[in-house]
Amino acid sequence: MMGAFLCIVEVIAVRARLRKARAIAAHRIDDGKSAARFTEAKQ
Amino acid sequence: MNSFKYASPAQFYPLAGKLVSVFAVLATVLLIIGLIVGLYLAPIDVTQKDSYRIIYVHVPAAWMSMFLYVVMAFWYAIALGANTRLSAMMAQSIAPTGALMTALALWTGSFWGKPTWGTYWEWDARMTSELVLLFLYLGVIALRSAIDDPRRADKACGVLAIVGVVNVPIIYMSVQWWNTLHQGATISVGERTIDSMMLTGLLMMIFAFWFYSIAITLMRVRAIILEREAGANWISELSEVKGQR
Repeated sequence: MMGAFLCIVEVIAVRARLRKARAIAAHRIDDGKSAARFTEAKQ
Repeated sequence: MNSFKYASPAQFYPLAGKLVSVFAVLATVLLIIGLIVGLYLAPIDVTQKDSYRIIYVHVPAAWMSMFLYVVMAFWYAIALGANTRLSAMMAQSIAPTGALMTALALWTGSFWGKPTWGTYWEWDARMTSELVLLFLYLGVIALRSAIDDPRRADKACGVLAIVGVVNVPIIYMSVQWWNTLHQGATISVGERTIDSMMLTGLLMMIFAFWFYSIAITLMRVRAIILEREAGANWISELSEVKGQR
C-alpha cells in the first residue's frame, strides 16, 4: 500500500511539474515579446 | 537513420512523450497480472507462510534502486565526457525515482524483517549499504538544488554519482562477502531455488517496476527539458505551449 501511495504521489508531482513547466515556457515567450517591444519603443 | 538526432532535446521531447504512454500501459498490465500471480496464484512458503509475499514488492524495488543508480551514473558519465545537456537531464530525471525505489526497498524490507528475523532493522552489510544508497540519491538531489547554474550542477552531481556507484556492487555482493542477516539471492543463473509460479510473479513485478521507472523518468525529463530549454524557439512551436498563451 505504501508503495502504491508513493508511486501515485510521484506521478501527481511529475504531472504538476510538467504543467508548471509548460505554463512558464508559454509565459516566458510572452515575456520575451514584451521585452522586445519595450526595447523597440526605447529606440 | 541517424539515432544521434535524439541527443537533441528538441528531437527527444516528442519521442519521450510517445514512449511514456507505451511504458505506462505495459507497467500497469504487468503490475496487475504480477500482483494476481504473486498474491493469489503463487503457493505459500514452507517456512515463512504468507509473509514472504512482500518479496513481490521488496525485490523489484531493491533491484530497481541499484539499476537506476547505475543508469544515472552512466548518463552523468556521458554528460561529463561528451558535455551533452540531454544526458545530464536524463540523469537528473532518474534520481527521485531511484530514491523512491530505495526507500520502498528499505521500508518493505523492514516489514519483512520483523516476522522473519524478529527485528525491523539490523546494521548488517546489505541493509547498511542500501541505506548508504538512499543517502547518495538524496545527496545528488540536494546538490542539484544547492547550485543555481544548471551546467555547474550537472558537473557536481555527476562527480558525486560516479564516485557513489562503487556502492552498488557492494550492495549486490554483500551477502556473499560477509556473514549477513539478509538472505542470499532469490534468483540466480542456472540453479533454481524458487517455485516456478513464484518466479513468474516475481519476474512480472520486476518488469512492471522497470517499465514504471522508464515511464516516470521520461515524463520527468520532459518537464526538465521545458524548464532548462525554456528560451528555445522550438518550444514556442509546441502545441501544448501555444495552447497556454
